Amino acid sequence: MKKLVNFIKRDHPYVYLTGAVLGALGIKMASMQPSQLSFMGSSPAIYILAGICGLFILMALAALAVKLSRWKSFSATAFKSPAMLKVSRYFSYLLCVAVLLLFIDRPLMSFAAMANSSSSADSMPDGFVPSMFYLLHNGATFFRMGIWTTVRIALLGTLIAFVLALFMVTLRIQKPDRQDNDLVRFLKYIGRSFASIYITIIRGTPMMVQALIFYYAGFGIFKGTGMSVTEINQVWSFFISGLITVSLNSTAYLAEVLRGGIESIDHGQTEAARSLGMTNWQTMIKVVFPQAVKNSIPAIGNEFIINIKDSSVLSVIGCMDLMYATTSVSGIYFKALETYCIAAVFYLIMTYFSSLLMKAISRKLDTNVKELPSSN
Amino acid sequence: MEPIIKIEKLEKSFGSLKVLKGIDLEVMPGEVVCIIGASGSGKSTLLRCINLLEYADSGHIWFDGKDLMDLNTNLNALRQRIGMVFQGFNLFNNKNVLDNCTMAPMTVKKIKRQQAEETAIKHLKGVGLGDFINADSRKLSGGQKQRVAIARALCMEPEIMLFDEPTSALDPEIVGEVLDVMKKLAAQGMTMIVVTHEMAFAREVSDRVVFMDNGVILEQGSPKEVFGNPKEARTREFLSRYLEDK
Repeated sequence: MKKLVNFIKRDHPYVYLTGAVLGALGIKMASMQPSQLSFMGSSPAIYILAGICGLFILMALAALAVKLSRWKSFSATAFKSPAMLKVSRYFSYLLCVAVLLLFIDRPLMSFAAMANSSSSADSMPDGFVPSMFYLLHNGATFFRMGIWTTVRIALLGTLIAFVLALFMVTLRIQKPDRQDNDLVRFLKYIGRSFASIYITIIRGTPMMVQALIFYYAGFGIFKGTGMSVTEINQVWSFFISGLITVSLNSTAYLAEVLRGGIESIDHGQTEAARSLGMTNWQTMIKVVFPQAVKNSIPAIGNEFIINIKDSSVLSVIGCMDLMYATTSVSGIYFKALETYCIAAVFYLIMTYFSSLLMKAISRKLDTNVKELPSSN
Repeated sequence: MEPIIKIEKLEKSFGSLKVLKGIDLEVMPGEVVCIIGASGSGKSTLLRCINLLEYADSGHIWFDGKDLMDLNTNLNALRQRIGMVFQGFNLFNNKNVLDNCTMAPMTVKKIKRQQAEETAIKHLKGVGLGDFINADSRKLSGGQKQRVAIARALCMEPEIMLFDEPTSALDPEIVGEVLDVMKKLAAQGMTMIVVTHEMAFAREVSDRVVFMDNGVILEQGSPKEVFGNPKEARTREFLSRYLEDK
């Protein structure tokens, strides 16, 4: 608020130049045909607003003329007097309001009118953007269902993956201790190797291939128990197998993220805990993991955003996510480019707002506390 | 009286670098031993071997009659009884001051929160930080951090305290507040092994000064003997650097 007041009270450079450009735009907009939704139509209000634009342009031209004739002593002219600066400033604010009103009334309202009429059209309208609105309106059920599935898969998948990744990274970082007997050493070796192989395989293969393998493997397993295809489809639905694919895939990535987080914790933290008599396990649970997870939160949020986008490959197994919904709509209306542009906009909106959310969460959790530069 | 710590023929290498070349040392209960020597002489490694943050290659360390080098010894049970203070403080970054002090008693000794907090507050007051119990441990000054670290170790009610260059990361103005706490602790009869470069402290507080050089204990004795009349040429050379300006 204070910032705004300061902004209004301050002198700004290039008032005449910017004002003249805005004024020209305003006059151009005022001369546009009013649409059905226009609230000013051709009423006198339009002429008043256009008049404000014209007056400002005239004033700017006058200033330009004076400036050209008195290049060196311009600052001594009336145009640079405090009163004139103030007048021109407040006049420019009035101009901004006028141009804004014109903008809302003409281009924005004609766009809304176009969107409105295209949405409710009986058949596919002409033009790219009108078609998009038509498709958006008529395919709304598909898109809504697709977005809902994508959000659920990304959110649940990341959460499940996070829990699994905690187990996975625990296996991954097992080191034989001096006091371990041979059995414990062997088990630790098995756990470590399993985690390492799992991570390598999952990270080294495309998620689309994983989705197909998991789906058909699951299908085969259920088939082996003697279930019919209908029964299998109920238990091993496209959604469930898609969710499992995303979860198992993210587990590998998040395990590496967490391992980075754990390795970034100063070894002194562990030493301090051990020197107080805490066991290795207690040290991990109470000291290392809380700090590592907190440091990893930005990367975990990143993985969530990646999952929103990458879950699109699940459409190959028929999982009804946004991508599958989009393909369905494009198949029904034979308008591929327009439909996929709609999907792009939806994905962009989802990822953009997720990243805003993640930033807010990291700020709230104070993930990177600024430490004093000196050791003291 | 039995020594609380007895070290015999302790050897330790990092790769091909031999850091400890057969250390023999005994510490009696209530004794304050200062280990001095040049950087790289193996002082810190010796201290870290005593509570097994480093594993020695060979030799024996007896703590209260139990051999720490024996693979069947329960190290966690013994570590509870040995307090350690580090050069880099190593306060738990995810905890406030009070929780730093109560975490180990509560998890290791299964002490109830209320009782653990009472003990912690007692020790925090003892190091002069009674007003800081709810402070964020990351935002304290170095001297305050180190005093919290001492209180944290004391909360486990250890029988011996190990100090690994506790003032080396502090600026000269702050060193005093930490040394004062250590002096107070020594006066209360705590058994202490202190690795330090603070010669004045070693001279004033310790019962015995141990001079280490190149992985061996070259000379040890009362502060008067070591500082007043060092027998070895190397000790004299090392101490001259510190005592010149006195």
